[in-house]
Amino acid sequence: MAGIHFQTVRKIFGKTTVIKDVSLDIHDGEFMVLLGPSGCGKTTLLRCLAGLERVDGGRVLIGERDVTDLAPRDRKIAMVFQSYAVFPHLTVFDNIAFGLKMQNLPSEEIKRRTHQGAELLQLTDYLKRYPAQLSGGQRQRVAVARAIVMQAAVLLMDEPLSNLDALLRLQMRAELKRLHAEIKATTIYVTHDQIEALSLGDRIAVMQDGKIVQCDVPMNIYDYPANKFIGGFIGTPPMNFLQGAVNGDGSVSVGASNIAPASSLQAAFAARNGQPILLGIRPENLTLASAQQANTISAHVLVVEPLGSHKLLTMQVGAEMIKVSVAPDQSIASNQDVWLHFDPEKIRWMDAASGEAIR
Amino acid sequence: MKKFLLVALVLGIILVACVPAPTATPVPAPTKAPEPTKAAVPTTAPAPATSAPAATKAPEPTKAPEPTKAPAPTTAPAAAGPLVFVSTQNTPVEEQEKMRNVILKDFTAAKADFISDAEGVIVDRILAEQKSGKVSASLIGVLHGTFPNLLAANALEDLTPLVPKLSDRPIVKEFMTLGKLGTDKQYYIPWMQATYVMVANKKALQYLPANAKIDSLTYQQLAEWGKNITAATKEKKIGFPAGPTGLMHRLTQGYLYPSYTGGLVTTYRSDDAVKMWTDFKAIWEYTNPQSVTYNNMQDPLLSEEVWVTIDHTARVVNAFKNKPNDFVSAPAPAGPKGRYYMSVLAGLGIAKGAPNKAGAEALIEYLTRPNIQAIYLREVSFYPVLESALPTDLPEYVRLEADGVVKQSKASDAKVALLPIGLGAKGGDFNKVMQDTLTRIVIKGEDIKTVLNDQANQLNALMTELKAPCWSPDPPSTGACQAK
Amino acid sequence: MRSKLESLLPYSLLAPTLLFVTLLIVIPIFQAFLLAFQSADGSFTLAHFQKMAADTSFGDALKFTFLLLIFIVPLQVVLALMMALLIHTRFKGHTFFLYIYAIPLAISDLAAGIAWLAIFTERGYLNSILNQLGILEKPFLFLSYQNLPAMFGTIVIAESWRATAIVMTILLAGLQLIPRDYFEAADVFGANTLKRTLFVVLPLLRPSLQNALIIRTIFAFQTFSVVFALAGRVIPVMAGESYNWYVTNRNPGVAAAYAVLILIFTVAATWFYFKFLKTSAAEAGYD
Ligand SMILES: Nc1ncnc2c1ncn2[C@@H]1O[C@H](COP(=O)(O)OP(=O)(O)OP(=O)(O)O)[C@@H](O)[C@H]1O
Ligand SMILES: [Mg+2]
Repeated sequence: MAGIHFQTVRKIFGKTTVIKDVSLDIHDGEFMVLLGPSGCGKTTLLRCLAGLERVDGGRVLIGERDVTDLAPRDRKIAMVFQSYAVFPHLTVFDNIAFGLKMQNLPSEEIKRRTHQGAELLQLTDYLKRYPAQLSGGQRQRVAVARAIVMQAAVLLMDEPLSNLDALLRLQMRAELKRLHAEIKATTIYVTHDQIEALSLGDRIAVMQDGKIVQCDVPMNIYDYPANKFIGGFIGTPPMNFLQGAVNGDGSVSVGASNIAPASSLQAAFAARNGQPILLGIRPENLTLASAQQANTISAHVLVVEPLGSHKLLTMQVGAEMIKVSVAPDQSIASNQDVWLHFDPEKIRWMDAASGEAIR
Repeated sequence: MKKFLLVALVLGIILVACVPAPTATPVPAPTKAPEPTKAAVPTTAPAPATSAPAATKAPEPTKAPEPTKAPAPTTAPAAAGPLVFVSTQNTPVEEQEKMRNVILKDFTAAKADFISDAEGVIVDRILAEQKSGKVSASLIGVLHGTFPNLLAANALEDLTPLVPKLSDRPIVKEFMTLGKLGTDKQYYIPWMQATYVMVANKKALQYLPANAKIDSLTYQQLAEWGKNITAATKEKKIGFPAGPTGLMHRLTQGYLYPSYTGGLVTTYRSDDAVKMWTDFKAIWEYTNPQSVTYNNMQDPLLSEEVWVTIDHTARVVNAFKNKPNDFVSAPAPAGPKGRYYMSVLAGLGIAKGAPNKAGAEALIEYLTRPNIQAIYLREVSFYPVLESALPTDLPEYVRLEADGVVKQSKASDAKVALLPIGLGAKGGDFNKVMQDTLTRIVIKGEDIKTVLNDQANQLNALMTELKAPCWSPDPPSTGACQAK
Repeated sequence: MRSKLESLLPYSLLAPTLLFVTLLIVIPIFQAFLLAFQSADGSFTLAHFQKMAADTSFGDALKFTFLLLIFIVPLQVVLALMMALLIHTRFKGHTFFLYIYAIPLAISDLAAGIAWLAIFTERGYLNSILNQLGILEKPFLFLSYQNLPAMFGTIVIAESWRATAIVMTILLAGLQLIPRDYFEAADVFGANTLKRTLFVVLPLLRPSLQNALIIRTIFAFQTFSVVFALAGRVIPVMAGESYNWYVTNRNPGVAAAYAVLILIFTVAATWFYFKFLKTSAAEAGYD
């Protein structure tokens, strides 16, 4: 009933096109996470939806309604601003209640919902304070509470937890997830935190340079990045990339070794005989082998970082560096030469020139 | 701290708001003064100190023009430095321009620097310069009534030695006598004169009351005339300069009061005065109520808001200039005691210790030349102080206005009223009594007798304070002049 | 040593201003008080105040000054606020309107008075236009002393025209200091224009409003050129009377008495605004 549909939305600031014909369909009740590097246009896209920016092309629909030309207040959405925009002249209570008051709800109801929102965001002690008397994180929570109490069908959150300490962020993340399960508002959530993205999102839309480059469920984004950029952007540490070249028999030579692609890709590789190619693989999908075998490459251990849940190895393969994550009890030391095993099913091959995944 | 600064700022603004730019004597007055749109005339009355009221003669063009000697070329005085000429006359910007670019153009003896401002400013400057001993202004051009103050402050040079040098030009004798300020020395040389005339739009003439002639009108006939006009046009088309810088009080002092009561101060609350105000109220019935905003009458004459008016010659001349075919000038109306009119005389004096005395004398000689006096009339509508006839080659608009001026002075019942004498700086207070009287009786409609009583008391208090004796047309008094 | 120097720095920076204020403001105002309370022989006197109060115009001047204040200040603030809000929407061509609005700023009050006289006078522009449009057959006398409300109305209009721009400038500057986010948040959370103005814009604008009100009120006490031009002596105001007493009546004592009275009223008004429009530091958003 309140799905969100961007149809070739374009936004131009002066001479730069900041949103480049973005189309995106978000289902009713879906929790969509917007992920992307700073300046790629996430906030701008949200503002187009909220009506704070007038689009230069395309349409924006909420449910069946074309809201492209509606004023913000007629779009029936709630929003957490990246800059909070908490009113300095109102107390925390009045800030949280602001949207409710604008709807002329009965004061009992306003009180109830405001207190509820304050409780959820642990603001009950601060209700009588002015924003200037709050910390940055507290102010941010006021902004979140103000949006949540609206119980709007569409909820936009622009990095709502960015200013909280790790622990609080963890709590809030869980709260938001629970809340979403409860109220089922169609949500667009902007974040730079991949864990947040992976944990909260029903789907993740990755933006790059004004475009949505991939939109899928979190595990697919993680496992099957649509291009080199996404693979390199998501995951800590991100995906490893190695240069290779396609041989006449469809295998790929990487350094001195040969790697055989998954059988499903054989047709695609046949056409690429002799071309350079990129091998992408996540650190946890590499295993150490005791001797050379099929799909192994020799590597030199440079750094060993024990991180508790796993060990992170930095290795040199030919002239390139890669990261490998191994079990914490794996015995390994720096300056060791080892064999690395590549699981062909977990490799993501990409066109060397465009960086697009080969499917 | 922020708050303190804000308070300080606000206080600063308030203070600035209340205090004027520093002048010689710092006085709280608003920083910006409204300049009259056209204020050629004095705020203080000229006060002849002679006991014998001198009838001022108006120039008569009928007399055969006397051959005037060609004035000798002015010799460059040795005294160096600029010649600063301060004046309370010709203050409107256009007149200042005329003064600098036309009238003083041919004066080559020194570099004349003409500075014109309100009377207060000029007098303050002269007195302050005398006090400090650093005199910069050499020549002083002010109204007759301003000179006694300057003399009292010993700020004037004795010009008696200059008089023989000016013998080639026929300056009106009575004016020269006035220039002695009641002493046996000459303190100023007459400069120029002006008066007030009636001006009527020709469209109004058809509504003149039967058997009334415009050249010999009475105030009662003026009321009747106004009534006829209003009946025909449904508009009130008489006008008076009763705006904030208008000269209505002069009309009260020099025209209405003398014409009805034969006096001014002594008769201020007389029965004659009551009659005058009653008649004037009748005229006011048909007077454009916008008169309270008129500072000069030429603008409303030209826009035809007003058809009939009386005002200073310099303040109606543009009507003749812009539409010479539309207007006629005529003498002011007469009352039971005669057709009184007022002559305004300005003179030239030299400041004591003037830095450029020779240049100032040369400029006096220059400004009193017949041809320069004629230029004055042509350019700024002030009349010559010479016995000789008006030049014959006057531009048409000057001739049209001069027509009424001459008829006024030659009318069989014409009498001259003098401006207040010996009031000095209190001239403004005196004028205020007239203005308040008019406002209360005519505008606010208060009872005439009550108002006259109140105002006469104020007048008496003022005159007592000043110990000023009566002047013509009031009969001479021994003590301070008092309303009966 | 260094800290001592540093603590002196603010004072040394303030010194020129202080000197200026002392020379051009404190001393003249002291002299104004002297003039107002000193008789000719130098002794203390209230005679100037008595003369002022006894004058025919005094009551009227007081009455009309305050009437003008009551009419003009709220009207102007509302008008200026609307103008500032309009400009602040940055609609296409808003700079053009900004320039138009700013014209009166560049015109002296005297010139404004003359311009409005030309508009309102019997054969003025307004009557001519109304006549051409066939609305009026005969000119309407706006400036008749017999129609004081009309006369007063013209003054209110002319004064509003003249000084609204300055109020607008202050308010617009204040508006531009407010981050746009607040307005956007109000929009998103369902405030219509009226509610947004009432609950967000005005409260955030309060410091500027306070300044604007103070400055406008001070201006209102100073008003007189326009009044002079349009109403002559029929509608006297305090500043005008002060001017008259000084320039026309040559009586500095009474003029100074008026100035002192104006000062007292202005200070009182300023105090009033400070007291009743006070913003707490927390509300104003200072940390
Ligand atoms: N009002 C504007 N005028 C001109 N350019 C703008 C404007 N707003 C945003 N931009 C530009 O548009 C691009 C996208 O900005 P946007 O705020 O949407 O980025 P973002 O993805 O939200 O970044 P971040 O993660 O840092 O918040 C940026 O390059 C920015 O400089
Ligand atoms: Mg952003």
